[in-house]
Amino acid sequence: MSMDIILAQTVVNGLMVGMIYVLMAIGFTMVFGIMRIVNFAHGEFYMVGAFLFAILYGSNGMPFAVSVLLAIGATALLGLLMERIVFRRFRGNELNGMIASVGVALILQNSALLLWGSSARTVPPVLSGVLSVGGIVFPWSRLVVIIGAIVAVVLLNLLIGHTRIGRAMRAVAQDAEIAQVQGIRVDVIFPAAFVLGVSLAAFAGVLMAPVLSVSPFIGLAPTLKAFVIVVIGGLGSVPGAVVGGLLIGLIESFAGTFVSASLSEILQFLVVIGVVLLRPQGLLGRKEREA
Amino acid sequence: MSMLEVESLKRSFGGLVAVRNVSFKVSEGDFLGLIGPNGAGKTTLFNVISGVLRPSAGTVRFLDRDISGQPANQTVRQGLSRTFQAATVYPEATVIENVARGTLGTSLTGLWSGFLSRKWRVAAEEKAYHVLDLFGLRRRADLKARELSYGEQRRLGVAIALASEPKLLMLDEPVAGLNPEEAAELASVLRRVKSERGVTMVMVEHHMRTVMGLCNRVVVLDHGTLIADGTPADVVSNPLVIEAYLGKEAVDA
Amino acid sequence: MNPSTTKPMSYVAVAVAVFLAVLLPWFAPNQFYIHLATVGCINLMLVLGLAIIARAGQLSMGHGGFALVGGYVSALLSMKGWPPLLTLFIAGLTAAVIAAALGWIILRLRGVYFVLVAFAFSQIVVLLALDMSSITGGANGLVGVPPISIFGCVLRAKPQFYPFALACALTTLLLTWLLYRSPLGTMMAATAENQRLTESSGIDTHRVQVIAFTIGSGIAGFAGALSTHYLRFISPDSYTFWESVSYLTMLVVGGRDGVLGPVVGVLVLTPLPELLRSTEGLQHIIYGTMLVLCLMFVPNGLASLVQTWRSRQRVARTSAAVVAEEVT
Repeated sequence: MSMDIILAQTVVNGLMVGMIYVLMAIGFTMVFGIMRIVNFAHGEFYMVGAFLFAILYGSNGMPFAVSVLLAIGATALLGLLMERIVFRRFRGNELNGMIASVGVALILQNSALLLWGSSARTVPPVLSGVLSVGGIVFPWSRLVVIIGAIVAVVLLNLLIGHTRIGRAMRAVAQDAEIAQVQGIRVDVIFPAAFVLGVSLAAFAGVLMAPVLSVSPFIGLAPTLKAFVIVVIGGLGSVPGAVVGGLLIGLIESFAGTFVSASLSEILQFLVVIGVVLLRPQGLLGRKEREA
Repeated sequence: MSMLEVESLKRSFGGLVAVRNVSFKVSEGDFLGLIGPNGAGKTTLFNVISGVLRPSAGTVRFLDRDISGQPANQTVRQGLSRTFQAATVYPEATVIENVARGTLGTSLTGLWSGFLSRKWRVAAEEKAYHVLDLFGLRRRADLKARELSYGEQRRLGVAIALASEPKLLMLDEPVAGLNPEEAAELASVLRRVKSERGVTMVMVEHHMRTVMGLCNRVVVLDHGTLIADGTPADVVSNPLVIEAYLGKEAVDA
Repeated sequence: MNPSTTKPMSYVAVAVAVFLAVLLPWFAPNQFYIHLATVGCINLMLVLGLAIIARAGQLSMGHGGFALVGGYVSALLSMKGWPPLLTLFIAGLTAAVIAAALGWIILRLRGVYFVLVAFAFSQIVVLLALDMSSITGGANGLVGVPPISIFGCVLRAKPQFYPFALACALTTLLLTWLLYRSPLGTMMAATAENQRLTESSGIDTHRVQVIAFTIGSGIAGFAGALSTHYLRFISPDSYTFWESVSYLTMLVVGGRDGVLGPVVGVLVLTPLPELLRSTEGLQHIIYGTMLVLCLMFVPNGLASLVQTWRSRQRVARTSAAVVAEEVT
């Protein structure tokens, strides 16, 4: 294989993984920005989404679109349930909310283990074949992930920027109390934001299911990535999540291809420490108001 | 001798200038009132002096030492303490524990002292009881701070600040939210603290009667700029001050 | 919690508990119970380390990472012929030094960032252990770690190791109790409750938190090493994220306020995994459920139930005294 092809593949892989991280990080950072909860269970919703899709589409052969909608819908419902039973009580209590989310992660991961077993499942690709551009080939299975994730991010941006509920969410993220005084139904915004965040995680899981193998243990790694990305991009910042996600995806892909996977992890950690030292609010984060 | 010298102090947030070019002095024994309309930059000025915020420009000198931008905890150990408008107590700790914690920063020789001996606690509590006596809170010593009335909690907040034995005590709206009776009680406590401990004080306050009753000097801030500095009587008759508070029409009328 | 209210009754209770713990090998029906008690001692040290960090208002999701560092340091040095009794302390010290450096960098930030970075750090430790296989044995780990020997007595079997583990755990407990009563412990509690107020009492709260993080992680390093010499084995799987989570669960279920909480948490939750060994998933679900339920209904932990009862008595006494004073 020529260098061009390797480079192109590396970029595609980096963008694919990066866009998945972007989806994860946006959901994570939204839940934090609005509810002030660091959600350690975020990746478990990714896992549940991937599993449901694997069962519906892979094992039962249901139509693609139906499988996607059902998988995301069911995960969103699970998220709503968790918000109503658990997270609702810990709004604004950062420490206890975070610990509670760890408990939820334990419950979700191990329920999946009991229900579906520990063996990994594979899902047939949605589109097979390759796209050939100027002699360089791109597998469609990966391009689907990138395109799907871009569509999701664009839709989300439209939702946040141009709809009433989006504006309400931004207001709550800035100051929940003031938003409430202005007549925004905070009690609706909280679960809505949580469900939206969870749905993004589930969609990421659905997209990745055909590329990776699905098991109950796949949730932790993307959670860690979401953490790393929001520290780099700035906690609560959506553009920061996009930049951070793509950066981490590309670092991972290039270091993984040309050096070693664990070196890329260490490199990412050093980037985090560097950002924390030099620009604590994150690359695109706003500075916390002092006093 | 001047205890605190603020020179050409400036602080801005992004493009917004909250404090511009403010200079004034506090002499030993002063009780200085810092007044001004809402949003005049009083609390920002306070935060910059006490080290909670860094100045954008200018200097703060305390006892002839440049303390601009140094961490708050260091400033306190040099003898400058302050209170906050809200959340000034440890709600889950007892009242005596609240004040005892206030003594630790300035009275200990090192972090590891008192690992085996309990002498430090006896000393801290003894000091704390004296402070509680001064504030009329001794009877509440064993209650948790959150079990106190609002007025008592505000008094406890000042007591904690005084426990670090400051030479200069800065109070951020100490009587805000108190009823007239509680306000009068706190004012008399402050007077007592001043006469018994000889502490120099600076106070941000909206409540004019408290300021007029306690302070020997008043400085007025408006839109981040210092517009008057003098005795309470001078300041209230200063047209600039009246304009700042009541609008231009009031002066012309 | 005010230590000065400790009653003679408490001392009697502590003495009885210690006495029973020491006697365990004589009345344990079989060696499994001694094993369980040893694991409990190691868990207690780890949870106390976490409790010290929490005492200063921080939460470490990377606690297992420091135990792993300690385990590997002690295993590698002792396999080179260093006496394990010495390498235990070197392990603790190494973990503490790393924590101090990391804490100095990240503790200036808000609590959330600290948690995220500490968590990321622990993942890096696991990766390094996997990657540097020429030194660490990679995924297979290190087998045949030498046992600890004290004055020529080799602690190879369970009944011999248990007294040493118990002594380590009790020493840690005692030191933690002394720390909580000391000025530093008081500053830690003050920082956790109201950092801004503590700072404006002249206390460098950043330094207090770094010290707490250093001590707590140092204890984790020591405990990780202790466990490694007990099991004679360490691998990257010995301390994963989920181990960190289980220490956190013990701490929260037991209680975050005093030294009693970790003891209660360890006593309640250590036997559970052993009893449910056949269905590992179920055990974690129970842990997760207890964690969530405790946070919802007893946020200060099971030990706080005792303290609530005590403080009711205190309030009753105080108000009686106030009434008496007002009458006279």
